[in-house]
Amino acid sequence: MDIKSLAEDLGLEEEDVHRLILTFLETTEQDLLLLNQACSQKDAERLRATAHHIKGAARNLELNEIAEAAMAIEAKAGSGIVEDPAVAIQSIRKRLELIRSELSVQD
Amino acid sequence: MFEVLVIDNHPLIRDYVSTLLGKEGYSVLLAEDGLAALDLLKRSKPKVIFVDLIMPNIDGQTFCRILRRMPEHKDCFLVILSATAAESVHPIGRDKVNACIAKGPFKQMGTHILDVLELAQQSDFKAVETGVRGLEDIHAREITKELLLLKHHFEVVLASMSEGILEINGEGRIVYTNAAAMEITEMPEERLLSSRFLELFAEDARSAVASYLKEVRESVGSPSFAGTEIKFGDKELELRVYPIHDDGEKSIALLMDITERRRFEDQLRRSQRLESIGTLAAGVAHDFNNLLTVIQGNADIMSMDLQQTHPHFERLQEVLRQVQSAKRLTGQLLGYARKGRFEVSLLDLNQIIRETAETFGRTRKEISIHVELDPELEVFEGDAGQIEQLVLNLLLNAGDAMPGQGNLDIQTRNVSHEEISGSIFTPKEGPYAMIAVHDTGIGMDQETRERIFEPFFTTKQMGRGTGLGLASVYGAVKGHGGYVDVESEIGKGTTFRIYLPIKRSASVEIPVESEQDRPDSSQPQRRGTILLVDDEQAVLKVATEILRKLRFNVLAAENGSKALRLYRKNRKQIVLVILDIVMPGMGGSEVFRELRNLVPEVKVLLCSGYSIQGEADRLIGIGASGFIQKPFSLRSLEQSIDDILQPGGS
Repeated sequence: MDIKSLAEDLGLEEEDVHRLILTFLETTEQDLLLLNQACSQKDAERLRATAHHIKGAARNLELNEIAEAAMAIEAKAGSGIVEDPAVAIQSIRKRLELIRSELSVQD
Repeated sequence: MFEVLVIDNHPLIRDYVSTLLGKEGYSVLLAEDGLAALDLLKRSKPKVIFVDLIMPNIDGQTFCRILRRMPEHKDCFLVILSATAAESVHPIGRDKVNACIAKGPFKQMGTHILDVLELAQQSDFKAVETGVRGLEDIHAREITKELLLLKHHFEVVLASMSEGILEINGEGRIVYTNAAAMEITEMPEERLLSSRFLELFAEDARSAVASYLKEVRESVGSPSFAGTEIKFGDKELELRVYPIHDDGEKSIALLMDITERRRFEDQLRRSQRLESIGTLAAGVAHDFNNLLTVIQGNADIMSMDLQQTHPHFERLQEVLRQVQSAKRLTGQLLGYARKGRFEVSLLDLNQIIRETAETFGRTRKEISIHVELDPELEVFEGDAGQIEQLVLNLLLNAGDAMPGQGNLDIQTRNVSHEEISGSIFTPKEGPYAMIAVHDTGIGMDQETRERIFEPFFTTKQMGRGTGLGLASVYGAVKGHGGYVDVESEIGKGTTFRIYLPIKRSASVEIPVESEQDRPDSSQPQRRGTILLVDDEQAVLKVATEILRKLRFNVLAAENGSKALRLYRKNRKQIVLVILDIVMPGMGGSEVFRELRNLVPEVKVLLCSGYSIQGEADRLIGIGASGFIQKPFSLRSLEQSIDDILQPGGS
């Protein structure tokens, strides 16, 4: 993730973008916990809404892999299917870790 | 630069938009949902608002609707900033919002936001765009569409429910209302939303609601938690609260308007109470009538044996006069219980009212009486005695309410059932004759109004009233299938309205009784034996003596089986059976049936401390010769016997 070019694209300062990404990481981590909770409670609607939340934020930052993984969960839950999203969560978490390490390198 | 409000539940959006606009020099306010935004709007007046559609607490759609009803924010430039705004038709009327931006990558979204702000300023915050900016930047939205359809479906269901539904957040504030809740509370959406739920209720009801809510919170895991009844202005509400345990501290409140239901239940309870008092009153009257029969019989016999100059003769006459007074009281009790003697004829109600008002006016000259009688008033089929008594009781009651001067208005009118439908009862279809009696007296409070038709209920001083007048009015009206309505307020007088059902039958004419029609009892043929059947020994004894005075032989039986035995043995000599209807063991009806089996043309005079209505009526319908109400005088018994035994008698 290139913070410098993203900041240029958005017309913001690098530190602003850095903060935005941290906000994204933090809220998405919380959302992943909520996904697990909704799944164990067999709550399809909550599962769908939380996945939708992750997808929207990922799209804002054009993190399309995360958006696609979240959309898969949202699609299933939207049809009333409560399936353990462990694989999708795992994939999202990997991407988050990657972003985090890129951030620390750029720091 | 001016203030811009951004409402979105995602921190990332809030952070991005506020950073972007801050750099452009705008002053940015942030709110995480509609509820927080409404709070903010109480102290700020942003020129532009960016609002997401799907948010917890008060959603974007509701927020926009409310905002447009707030006069102080009516010129605000409203922009939808939402993923769901990408759908072809978003659920807010386009006239309510100025622009729509579909959420997408920040780069494009930021451009759209700044463009829209530019547009707002150039158009002096008046521009209205019909399209959605940013559609080209986003991917397929099928899932969101489904979500919207689902949401719309639930909203249609909730809107069509008759129960009021309120969603309450963890702080006890209302974040959703359906149409029924607005109707029940008589509050618009903008007032209900963001209000504190407890503050909907008046001070005196609030603690009851609070303790109910506490009870609900403590009853976690009890699915059948009952509701509570709460006073809400002049309404009665049933309130049920269901906590949503999976979603923070939220709860759903269900409001049901049970005002009408309670009113009907109260009415039913009052009717049942009056009905049971009626049964009790009839029982008391029956027993008293038996006692009075014995007193009157003995006094009659003694009077016959005494010269008028005898020192005790006048005392006996006084006893008989008092028996007559007591008989009137028991008659009123039976009237109330609708068990009084009932003789139906066609009546001119105007005539009855005119005569009664005239008589009343002579006794209360200080009261000014205005009579307005409908000349077209329909002829009414009913019991003359009861209706006369009814009118007199209404006038006496009005007179008592006006101890000094006052006005008494009496009115009659033909009305249809529709005209009286607004009252607490639902009248049967058809025409009614209405009698309205209005006084300008002291009036009554609600407690008195609710009890005035109960027997022995009186507001008069001890000894001044029996408490039977209005009770017998009620009984007479009910006995005629009518309705009675009372309207009264302390200091504003009272109006009674009586509605009597009109039966239209062209073939019935008012019978005119002539002197020639009455049997001549001056020289009656009184021969033969009478079988007297009554379970009361004292009645049996005195009636036997009376009958002997009337020169009949008497066979007395204190129960049904003995009566039948005596009848079988002496059927040739027995010219008449006088039969009490209510007896333990074999009752009068059974004895009558057995007698008819033995001799179909047997003559039976029924008697009872109750009345002709009910069993006696039925027995007369199948062949009994007549009925005499206890207590009876020697003369009235003689008359009844003569009516039956005269040639051509029943």
